[in-house]
Amino acid sequence: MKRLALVTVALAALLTTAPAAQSSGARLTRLGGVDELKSWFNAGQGHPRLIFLLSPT
Amino acid sequence: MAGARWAQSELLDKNPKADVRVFTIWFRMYPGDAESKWPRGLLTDTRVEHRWDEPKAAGRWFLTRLTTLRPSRGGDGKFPQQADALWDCYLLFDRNASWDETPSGVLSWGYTVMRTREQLLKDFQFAIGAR
Repeated sequence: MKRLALVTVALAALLTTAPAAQSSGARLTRLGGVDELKSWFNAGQGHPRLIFLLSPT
Repeated sequence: MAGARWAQSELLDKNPKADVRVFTIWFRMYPGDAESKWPRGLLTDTRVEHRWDEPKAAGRWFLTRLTTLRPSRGGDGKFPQQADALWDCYLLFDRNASWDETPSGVLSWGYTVMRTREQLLKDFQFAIGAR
């Protein structure tokens, strides 16, 4: 029982102190046509930009 | 899929401070493809945006304009034959690129991502380093 409590405390500490995952918020929304891509592209001036065209399987 | 996995590990994970912006457009090319099959565990980096493109508008658009892109850092120019859209492909642009009629500032593009990954890696390093 004591060991279980220690493990629980250790896990809780780990969860509260670990850095946030860099990922997490990825979500998929519908593309609003090529115009949306163009808007994203021009809004990113000053940054290198990388476009991937992929299929999901 | 393999290309997306490679890009996350070799480009983004290894360059966490690179100020690159990534736009990933997913669409159907195989019979089993569907929006519900989106691999949410790939390209999870916060610098990446994901869109589903049901009509393949972006892939069709780029396929018909490949000859206008003129990549400054070369490439072998191979593209998917007998396909109605450019897919399994990357397009890399420099910081100053802008898009009026067509996008300028193409450093390179490649099909497939895995086949051309050495060029992408080299040009990615150039792009994030050049200021």
